[in-house]
Amino acid sequence: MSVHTLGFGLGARVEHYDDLLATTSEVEWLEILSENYLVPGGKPRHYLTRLREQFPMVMHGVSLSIGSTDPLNTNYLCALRDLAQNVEPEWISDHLCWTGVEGINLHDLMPLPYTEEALTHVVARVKQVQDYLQRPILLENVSSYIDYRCSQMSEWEFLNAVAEQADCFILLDVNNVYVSSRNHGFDPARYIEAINPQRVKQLHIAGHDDQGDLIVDTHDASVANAVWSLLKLTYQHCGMVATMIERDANVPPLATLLSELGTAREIAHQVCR
Amino acid sequence: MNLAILQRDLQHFILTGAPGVHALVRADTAQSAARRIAVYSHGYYSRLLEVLGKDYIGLAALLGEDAFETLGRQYIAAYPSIHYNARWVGQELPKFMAGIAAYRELPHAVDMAKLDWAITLAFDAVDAAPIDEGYFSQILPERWSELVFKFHPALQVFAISSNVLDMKRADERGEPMPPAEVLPAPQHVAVWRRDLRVFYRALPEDERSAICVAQNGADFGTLCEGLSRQHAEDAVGMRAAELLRTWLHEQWLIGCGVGACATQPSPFNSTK
Repeated sequence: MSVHTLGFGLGARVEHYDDLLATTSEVEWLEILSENYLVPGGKPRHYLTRLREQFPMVMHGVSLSIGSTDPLNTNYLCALRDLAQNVEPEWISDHLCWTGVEGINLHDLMPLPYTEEALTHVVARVKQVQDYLQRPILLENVSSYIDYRCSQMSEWEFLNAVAEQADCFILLDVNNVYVSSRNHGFDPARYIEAINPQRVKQLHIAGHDDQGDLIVDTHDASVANAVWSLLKLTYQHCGMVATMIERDANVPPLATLLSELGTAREIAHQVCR
Repeated sequence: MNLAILQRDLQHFILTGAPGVHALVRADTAQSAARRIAVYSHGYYSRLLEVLGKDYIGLAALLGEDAFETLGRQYIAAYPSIHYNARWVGQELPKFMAGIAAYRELPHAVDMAKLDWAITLAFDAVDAAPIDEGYFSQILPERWSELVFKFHPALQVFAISSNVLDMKRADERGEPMPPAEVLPAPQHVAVWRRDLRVFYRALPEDERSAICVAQNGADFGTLCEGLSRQHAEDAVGMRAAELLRTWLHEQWLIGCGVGACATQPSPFNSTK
């Protein structure tokens, strides 16, 4: 596979700032959580500048609320655009979800109903955002614990349709596919194999909390075996895609994440050589 | 179902835990639907409580886990998050507490909330390069009285009525907090950032009034006049010099100049 990708990266986490600045090429790029740096200054912006000097970066947001029926938040978009001018990221991503209505922010990634109405609504808003940011964006599939009675298509059909009609890209979270498949009883392999590989520009892998009757996407544990298997399938389907490990809580030493990143690298090399 | 109505109704279920969500989501039973929506309800409150806990470390320690969670839940219910960044979710907490009778009986708790939030604001306030002593050495002696000062945006000054600074310091050292005490008179506090670290300390009254005068744009001469009402005439110059040295050391000053323009070069000695 000769397609150029960023390779293997990690999320920039406060706990690892100094270690990352001292690390070598094991981490090929960093993903920043945009909102953590949408502040005026101080330590977050200081470390952002230093890390950016050393690593290619992508910006990953949680507040776009692309599926909300509230108007797009122009203050957020403006701040995001300013940050992007500063960071010069390889790309900007957010989630295929809504985060609140009536001016309230739930600070959660709420799934959309997969309906024609929602599709039309999201596609129009993605186009608006891309016009504003002057670049295509990536949208990530979310983990979900509910699906709606009114849905008319599968999540993967909806995701593909948004990407195609809005001409945006997909950040495929392999862990989220697994979490939702268990919660809703679908075949995760079917989801992965249905995704248009031409649209997939980045992969997330992460850990979750298996509560038996429900799996919760906690990003606080190591990557599960089932997710490693799905990652292999994803490489078989999409080829080599920029891959990163998301760890947001119970953050282990950097060496632990580097080891997991090594596993991802090994799987990719087995599949994509 | 209309998307806007669906989102409004689902958000209502998440925020209130009201029954009936089974009509919207696929689940074998109403209990199963409620269990699934509870993941979001629990996530909403626990996420915001976690943010509050990080922003109000002193207050959480002072009140204890249960009382802090109770306060947090009351606050979140009264002030749902409206900012895209959860970093701002706690900004109204001191005001909220001041409006609750039970907390008016605990002025040290309200003071602690003010102190914690000021520290949070100073942490990521806008950057500005501090000036150093060399900056002053270039100023012509006859222009000193006209100097006005520009302060770092992270610097905040506010009043407290309790021994909350001692309580906060004890907590930061991992020691038990001393008993709360009401001070004989209100005390002003400065919170600021120096080299990426946040500091706080009590302000003597003459320093508080000098900062107030200087932040309002008055010149150094006016600042000294203010000091002369609090110090003997022969001590004013010394005290003013001491304050400036302190402010430089603490990185509170980011510019000075003459009149409205704090960067105007005219007061400087042209030979330097």
